[in-house]
Amino acid sequence: MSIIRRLSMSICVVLLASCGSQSGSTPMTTRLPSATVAVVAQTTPTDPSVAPTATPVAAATVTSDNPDALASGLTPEGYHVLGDMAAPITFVDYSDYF
Amino acid sequence: MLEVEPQLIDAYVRTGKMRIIVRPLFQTGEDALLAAHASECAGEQNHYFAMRTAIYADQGGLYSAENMRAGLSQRARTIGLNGDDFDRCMQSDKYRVPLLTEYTRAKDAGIVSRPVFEINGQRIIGAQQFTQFADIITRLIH
Repeated sequence: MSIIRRLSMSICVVLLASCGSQSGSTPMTTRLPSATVAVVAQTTPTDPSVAPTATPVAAATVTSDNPDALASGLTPEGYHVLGDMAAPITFVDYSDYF
Repeated sequence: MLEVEPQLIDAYVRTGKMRIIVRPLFQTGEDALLAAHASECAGEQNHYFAMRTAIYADQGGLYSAENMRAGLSQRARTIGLNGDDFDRCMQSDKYRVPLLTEYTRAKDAGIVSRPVFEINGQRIIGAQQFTQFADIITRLIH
């Protein structure tokens, strides 16, 4: 067998081994279905006495125990709001901790 | 709201039918103010509602803790906040005055007890069951 043929065969063997190794050692990543929502743009309150704004994040994964994954931000008055700003129902919660 | 709010979120906020606006109302003293301040600091890192949920979930533990600031700081880290930034925010006390001002505003608006809710402007005084809120919300939607 010529040297060139031997080299070609060796290269083929190496390449095949490489492919086999990759598919065998690295499991395929399964992406769980997840919803993403854009966070409502937060606006700076016009009243300086109202709590300042935070910087919005682009998107987040919705999980059952993470309300921050829903759209959230600040109302023009500076109050924290959870949910779609265009939702037909507005629920205002005047409450205290403890 | 500890039990009712998650139900409202699942039924109406996640479905795009409702948004919840939180207006802090302080009548129970310094600890409540500290908790609200912690929520505002968490809000700087876009975790206002997660912090609120964390505080509600362990009100008893926080309230009875010897060092409530340390407890809040620990919870901030638990929900994934940058702890150093959170601690700096807490130490600054910068939300104290705005939060107290908000209480004055609420009183001026006739809110003198807690909790009070408004659903599309309809005022409801006192704690309610989920079904009571649901009745009102359903009527308003349809």
